[in-house]
Amino acid sequence: MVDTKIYENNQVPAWCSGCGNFSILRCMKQALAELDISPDRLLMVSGIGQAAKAPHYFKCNLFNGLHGRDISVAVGAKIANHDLIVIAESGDGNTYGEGGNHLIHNIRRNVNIKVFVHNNQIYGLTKGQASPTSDLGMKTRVQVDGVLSPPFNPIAVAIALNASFVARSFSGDPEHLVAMMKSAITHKGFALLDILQPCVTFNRVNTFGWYKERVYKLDDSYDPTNRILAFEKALEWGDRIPIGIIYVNNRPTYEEQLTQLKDGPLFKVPITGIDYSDILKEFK
Amino acid sequence: MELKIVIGGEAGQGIQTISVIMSKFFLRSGYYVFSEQSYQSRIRGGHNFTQVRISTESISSPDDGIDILVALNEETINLHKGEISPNGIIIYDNELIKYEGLDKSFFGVPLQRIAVENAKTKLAVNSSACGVLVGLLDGDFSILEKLMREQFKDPDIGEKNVLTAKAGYEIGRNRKDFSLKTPFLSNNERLIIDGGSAIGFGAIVAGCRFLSAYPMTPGTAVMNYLAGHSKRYNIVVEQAEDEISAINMVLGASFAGVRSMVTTSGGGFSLMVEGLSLAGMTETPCVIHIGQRPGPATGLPTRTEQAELLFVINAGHGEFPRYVTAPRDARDAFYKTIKAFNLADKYQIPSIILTDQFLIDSMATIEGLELNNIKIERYIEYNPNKDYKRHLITESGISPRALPGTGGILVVTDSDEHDEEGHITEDLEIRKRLVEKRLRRGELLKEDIEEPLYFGLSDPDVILLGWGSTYGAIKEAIDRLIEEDFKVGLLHFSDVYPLPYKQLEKYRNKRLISVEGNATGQFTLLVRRETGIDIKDKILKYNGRPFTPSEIVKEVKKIW
Ligand SMILES: Cc1ncc(C[n+]2csc(CCOP(=O)(O)OP(=O)(O)O)c2C)c(N)n1
Ligand code: SF4
Ligand SMILES: [Mg+2]
Repeated sequence: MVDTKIYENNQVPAWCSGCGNFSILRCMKQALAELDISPDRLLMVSGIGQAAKAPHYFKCNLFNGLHGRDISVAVGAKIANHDLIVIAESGDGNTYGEGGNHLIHNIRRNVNIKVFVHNNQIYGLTKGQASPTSDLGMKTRVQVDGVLSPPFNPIAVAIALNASFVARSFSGDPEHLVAMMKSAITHKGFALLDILQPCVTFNRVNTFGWYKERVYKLDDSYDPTNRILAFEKALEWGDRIPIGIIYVNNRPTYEEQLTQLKDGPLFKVPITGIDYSDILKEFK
Repeated sequence: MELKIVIGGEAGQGIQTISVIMSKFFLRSGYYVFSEQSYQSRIRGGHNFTQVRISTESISSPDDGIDILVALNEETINLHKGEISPNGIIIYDNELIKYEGLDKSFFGVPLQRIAVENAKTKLAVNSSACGVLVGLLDGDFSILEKLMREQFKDPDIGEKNVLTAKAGYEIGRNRKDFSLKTPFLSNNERLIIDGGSAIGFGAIVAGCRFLSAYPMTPGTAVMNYLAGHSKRYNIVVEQAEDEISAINMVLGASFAGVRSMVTTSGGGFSLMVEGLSLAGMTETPCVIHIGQRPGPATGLPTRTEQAELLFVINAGHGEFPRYVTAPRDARDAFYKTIKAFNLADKYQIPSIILTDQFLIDSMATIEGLELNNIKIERYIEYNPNKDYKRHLITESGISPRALPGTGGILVVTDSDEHDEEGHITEDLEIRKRLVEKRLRRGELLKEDIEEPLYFGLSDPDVILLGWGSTYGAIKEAIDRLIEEDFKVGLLHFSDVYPLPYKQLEKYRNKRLISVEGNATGQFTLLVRRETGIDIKDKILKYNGRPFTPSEIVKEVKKIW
C-alpha cells in the first residue's frame, strides 16, 4: 500500500463544512492507496455539481467535463487507452438526471469503467432543487407542493439492465465505503457505486442521522450473484436501506469483445506507414 | 462527347446497383463519370432516380436532360419523358409496363423475364438493364462481365448475373438506329468515389481510429465506411445512444490520444453543440463531419441544402477558435478531411467538415489520389517536463499536449474556467489570460486557411461566388458562359472559416453574384460580416435538389 499523501494536492475544496463529500474524498484516497494505484495511471472524469468537483482535490489525471456527460467521456477515454483506470465521479442530478441515457446504455456496453455517484438526493450546486432521487413529498423552493414523482431507483435500474457490478455505500461509514470502492475498482466491467451522502445545507430530510438509522450492511449470507434476490434488495428503501455489493456478474467487457484492442491500447496503434492500396482498388 | 443516363424506379428495385456498376463500367471504359442520387426517405416504393452522366471532359455535377432513360416503373416514364433529348431513348420493360403513346424513342425489353430466365430471380433485373445499356452503346462486354464477377462474391451468383447481362447485351446491340453510341477510350488510372467514402478514406489515412455517431442521413455514410474497414485498420466505431454521447465519447478518446471523429447532420449537430463548446474550453482536438440536408428540424432527410453555414460557424456558447471546411468535391473532401485532423491536433481545436447530401451520395471520377506525400502530424509531447501544465500560457496560445497515462505527469482539464494546470478557478485575472490564450490560436490558424480557387477570365465583369459542393456546377456554367462571350469568373471557397479574405479584397470592387444552396444567402452574410463587402445579387436554390450548370447559366443571364 502506498501512502495516501501521494494524492495530496494544493487545491482547497469548495464544500460546506460538515458535507458528506469530505468523507468520500478521504475514502477515495484511502482506497486508491490500498490498491497501490499511482495518480498517473488513474483518469478521473467528472461532470458538474458539488460532487463532480471532488477529483480536483486529489492528484490524478482529470477530465472535468459537462453536466451529465462524464460517463461518455470516460468510455471514450477507456476505449482509447484501456491501460488507464477510469472512474467517473459525479452527483445524483448529474448521473441519474441529465446523464440518465448514458448511464443506461453504458451499463449495457459494459465498458470497464467505474461510476461513483455521490447521492445526496438533492441538487447541491444549484442550491437545493429536487433531484431524481429526492424522496416523495420533499419540499424545495421549486417543488413547492413537495416532490410529486417517485424517486429514481438507480440500483433497481442497474440490475434490470444486468449491470456487471452494483453496490451502495454511505459516506458516514468510511470503512465500508473504502471496501466498496476497492471492490468496484478491482471488478472487471462496468461498476456502479451509489454513495449516500448527506448535504448539510440543502437536504434537511435525508440527514446524516436519517441515513445512520436506516442503513444496514449486507452480510456474508447474501448472494449478490442472484439477480432475483438482488432485485428484491434493490426495492428496499425506507426504514431499512441495504448497503454493500447488491449485484454482480462476470459478463464480458466491451473492450474484451473488440478485436481492435487485442494488440494493445488503441492510442498506440501506428497510424503512419500503412499500405492503403487495397482501399484504392475499391474505387476502380 | 457527353451522355446522360437516368435510371428510375421504386426504392428497393436496385437502382443504386445499376448506377454503381454503370459508373464503374464507364470509368474503366475511359470516361469521366458523375452520378447523382435522388431518393426519397423510404425503403420501399416512391420515386427514386439516379443520373449517370459521362463525358470525355472532367465533370463534377449532374445536368439537365436525358439521353437514355431506364424506366423500371411506369411513373419514371411519366415523370421524365419531357426531359428526353431528341435522339434519346427510353428502355422499359414492355411485358410489365403497358404504356400508351409509344413512339420511336421507346425501346421495350423484357428485363424481368431475362432476369428470371437466366438468374432465376427477379432481383437480377439490374443485371439485364446493365447488359442492355452496354449493348446499346456498343460497349465492351468483357468490362461489364469482370465488374459483375467482382460485385458478387458468390461465383455461382456472379455467373448467373453475367448470363443475364449477356442476354440483355445481345438485345441492346441489335438496336441499330441508336445514334449515341460511345467511342470507347482506353483504360486509365482514375478513381471513382463518392463523397462519403472520400471522407471515410481520408479519415482512415489521417489516422482516425475512433468514430462515434448516432445514425442520421446523410452523415451515416461515413460511419458505414469506417465500420466497413474497422477490422482491417483497427478502428473502433461505436454507435452512441445519442449525439450528445457521441461527441463526448470522441472528446474522451481524443483526450486519451486517439484521433477521433463524429459524423452527423444538422439535427444531430444541434445536440452536440454543448460538446463543441467543451472541446473549445478543454482544447481537445476533434473532427466533426456534418452532412447538410434541408431543415429546419427533420426537413427533407434525403435531399440536399447548404443552410447550416452560419449555424456551424456560430455554434457553441462562449468564444473559441474552430476550423470549418466545406469540400468542393470528393477529391477535395479526401484531402480536407486529412487537413481537418492535422489542424485539430495542431491548434487543439474542433475541426468541422461541412458537406451535404449531394456531395456525400454522388460518385465522381477523380484523378488518382497521391498518398505518399501525406503528412500526419500529431503535435503530442511524449516526454513532457515534470512540471507539466496542460493549459500553460504560451505566446502562440498553444499549450503542450501530453496524454494521460504517459510520461509520468498528470493531465488535468476542466469545462469550468481553469488555471494553467487545468484546475477549476474563479480567479478573474487568470480567466482573462486564458480567454486570450485560447483565442490566440485562432489568429495563427488563419495562416493555414486556403484561399478560394479562382477560375475563369482574368479580367471579368462579373464574378460568381460559391462554396462547398456547388463547385462542379458553377465551374461548368462559367465555361459555357465564357463560350457565349460573357466575361465571368468564379471565386470558389472550400475553407470557409476563418474566412479567407485576400482574394475577396482583390475583387471587392467587381460585381459579385453569390450562388448558394439556401434561401437567405448565408455566405453573403458571412462575407459582409468579415469584410464589409455587400453582395446584392444571389442565385439561391432551396428545393432540396443540387444545382445544375444549365440552370446557373440561365439565372446568370437573367441577372446580367
Ligand atoms: C447543461 C447544464 N444544465 C444545468 C446545469 C446547472 N447545474 C449544475 S450542477 C447541477 C445539479 C447538481 O446536482 P448533482 O449532480 O446532484 O450534484 P451536487 O451538487 O448535488 O453534488 C445543475 C442543474 C449545468 N451546469 N449544465
Ligand atoms: S451544498 Fe450540500 S453537497 Fe454541496 S458542499 Fe454544501 S453540504 Fe455538500
Ligand atoms: Mg446531488
